[in-house]
Amino acid sequence: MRNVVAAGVGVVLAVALGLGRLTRPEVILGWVDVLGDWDPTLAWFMSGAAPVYALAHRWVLARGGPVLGRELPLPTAAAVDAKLVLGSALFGAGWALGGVCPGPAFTSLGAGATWAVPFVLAMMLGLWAAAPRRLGAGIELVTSLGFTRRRAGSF
Amino acid sequence: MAGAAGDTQSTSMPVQLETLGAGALFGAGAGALLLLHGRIAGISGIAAQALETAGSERAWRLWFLAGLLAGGAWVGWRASASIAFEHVVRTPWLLLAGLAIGVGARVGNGCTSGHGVCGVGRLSRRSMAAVVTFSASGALVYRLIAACGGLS
Repeated sequence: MRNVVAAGVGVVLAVALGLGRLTRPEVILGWVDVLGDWDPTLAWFMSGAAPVYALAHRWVLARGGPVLGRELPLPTAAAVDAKLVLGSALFGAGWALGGVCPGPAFTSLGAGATWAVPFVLAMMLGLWAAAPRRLGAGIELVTSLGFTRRRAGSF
Repeated sequence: MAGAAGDTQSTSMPVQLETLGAGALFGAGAGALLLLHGRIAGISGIAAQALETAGSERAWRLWFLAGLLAGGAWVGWRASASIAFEHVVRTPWLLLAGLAIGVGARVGNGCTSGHGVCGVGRLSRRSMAAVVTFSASGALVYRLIAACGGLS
């Protein structure tokens, strides 16, 4: 049953991304082109998505757990740390380079766009290689440096 | 890269309403995963964990990714204008972009879906910071690339 739900949700998300045109690289590139020909599509999409998701979030909390099972593993970290900021900054650089988010990458792959093959492979390699236990020491070092520099900075 | 867009973005109200509606559908799908399965529909997180889990924990993630591909096939068939069958950016740069997206999403604990929709939806400070960070960083890098003559 969980697999059916997961597959169904996957289909819905891909269709939503397609209908919202977030699968078009120029939409994401337009979003980061704030000083030029700015495209607010992403903001409209998120404005539609976040409130609906918020309702589901309140609902699942109110009923004390999900329908299929009792487990509700929600993120518990609260602090905005250097790891979050550095990772997200790199993610933003990826946006600016290709204009492709992970969801639209899979959606485009399913649609038969050939460029999505190398893109998804590179993305999967990145997701795999940057697992905490693989980057481990490296990430710790980089984030601690980033953190001290941030704290020592002029702001 | 600037000016390479295939079609001009209309800013008329119906288009914005359509995007809002598509977003609501995305929120409903992600909400259904949370309500039924108790999991966050962060696409990069699910893809990453699919590589590292086993058994039923891996199975549902693979089904989810298969669903994304199947939904993508539908989009390619019924809404093909939404698919870029050719990418304006050349493959070496796309590989770099994919790598940056993968590493960035893993280190930053999420992508546009996990932070932008699910995190923002539950008013997570970390997710709001992530969205601001990747948008700002994207804008900066985009400017730098444009100043260097683009990638296409």
